[in-house]
Amino acid sequence: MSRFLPIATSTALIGAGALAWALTGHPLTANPELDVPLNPLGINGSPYGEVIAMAMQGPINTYTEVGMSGSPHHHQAGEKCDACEHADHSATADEMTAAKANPTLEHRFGNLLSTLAEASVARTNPKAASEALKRHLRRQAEDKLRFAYQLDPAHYGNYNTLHFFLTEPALGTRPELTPSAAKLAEDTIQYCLKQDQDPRPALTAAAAATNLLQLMFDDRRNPTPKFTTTQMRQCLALLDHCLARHTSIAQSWTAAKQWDLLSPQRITECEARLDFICTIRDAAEKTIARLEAEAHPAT
Amino acid sequence: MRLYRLTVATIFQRKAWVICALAVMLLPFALPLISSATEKPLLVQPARILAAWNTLWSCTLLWGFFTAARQGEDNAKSGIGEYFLTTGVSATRQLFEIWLAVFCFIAPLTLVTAAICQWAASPADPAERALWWVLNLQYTCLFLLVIAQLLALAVALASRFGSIVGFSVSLALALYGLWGVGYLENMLKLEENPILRGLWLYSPQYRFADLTQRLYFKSGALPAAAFWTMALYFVGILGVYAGISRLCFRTQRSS
Repeated sequence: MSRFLPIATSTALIGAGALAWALTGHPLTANPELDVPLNPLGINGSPYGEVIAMAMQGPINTYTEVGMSGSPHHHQAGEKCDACEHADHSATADEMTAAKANPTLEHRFGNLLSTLAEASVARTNPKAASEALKRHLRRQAEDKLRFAYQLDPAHYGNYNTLHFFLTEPALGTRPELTPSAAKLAEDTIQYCLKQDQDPRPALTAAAAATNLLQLMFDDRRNPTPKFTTTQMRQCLALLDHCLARHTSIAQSWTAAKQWDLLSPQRITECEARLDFICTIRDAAEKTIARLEAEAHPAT
Repeated sequence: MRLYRLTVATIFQRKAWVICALAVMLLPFALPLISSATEKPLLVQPARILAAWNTLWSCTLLWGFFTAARQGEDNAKSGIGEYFLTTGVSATRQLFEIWLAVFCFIAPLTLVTAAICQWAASPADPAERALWWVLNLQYTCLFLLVIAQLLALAVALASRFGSIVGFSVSLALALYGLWGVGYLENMLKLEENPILRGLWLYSPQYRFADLTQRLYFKSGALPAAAFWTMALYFVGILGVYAGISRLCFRTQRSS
């Protein structure tokens, strides 16, 4: 009896527990209100996610460059690069000349490390990378871009590079690109307009709106266009709304001196993006006016 | 070399090395079966390369560092270190013998991995195959150089601060050197910061020793000059770590 009792108690406990588990498990999993998106450690869209997404831009570059040309390339700070059509702004030309004329130990060590980093990825194989390999790498770059986008959907660069990847047939690896790019833009606008503490997501939303307009303009090339000029006007109004929101949050930032928390590089970046989007917006308005004139030549 | 033989026999008796040996030998052939390589036979070899070297890195970083730390701690805690000291085996000699014993388990695993890469994942093109030999050899050398210094550090830190510290510090250093410095560099490119830049500059850049991507992309062997500079760079760090380990190593637990 004394041996039977503990076993019976344990069995009853296990039985009762399993019963409760099984009975409550199903309603919990079936309840859509309890359905949470897969987001380990809550990292997606968090302040950590934003920093990781920024740091991820490097690996994505490597994959894209190998995917496009077969070998990655790197340049020293300040060096011009035709392939990238940009200069690395981390050091000015004067600083570079001064550093070259009088290299400190730290500069020399830094140079050694960058030479090694360059050599560790330089392609010495005489045979070019195969098409299948390049395609596979482009697919991986696309997946990484999507991952970076999920980490921080409000980041201007993350959204735009993913959009570019989806709409550029030479880069993208999945068919039926336009609907997914349009959905991406809509999701981004929705997400960014919810952010009311930072003026920069509104700019990303504005960029997404310009991309939507671009998709609508591209659609005009089809024999039977799907989008009317009224829809384009609506999209333009959405773009204006995003820009107005950016302006209002930016003003509250100026009042609260929150811009001072940003480095000068981030502020310049933000201004350049605003200028760019405003230019695109004006061009889009003219295009819509032209399309309207074509649709109603008599009026 | 009695301590060396004792340590080898202890690790051998614990049998955990069998799991690592099986993983290193079997996973390169098993993992491609659950990858997309089953649909695209072209990807079998890249998948095998990734599986082989990643298994080796995982086994070494987890089991290798843990074993090194445990042996370091046991030597100080159980009184073996003190006993050998009385028989005339100096602290440095003890550190060397324990380190060598652990290294003798890691080195064959590395050679097996390189051999799998050489014979079961080599490219068909003769020109590429000629470079493949060199690249495998370069990778093996750099890998062993990096692991050697971290094993010594794990043994020494564990003997003074316990096995948890020995294991976690060497693992953290390895992960930081492999990937952390890369992320730090990307952040520095976006925004300059003199303190972080100094930290980055004098960090152990183990990422140079990870040539998996070169094998994966079939980028060819490292240029000879770059390889020798890397080897010298890691020998330099090995010297620093050996010095620190020598200072840190204890033959008996401080009371």
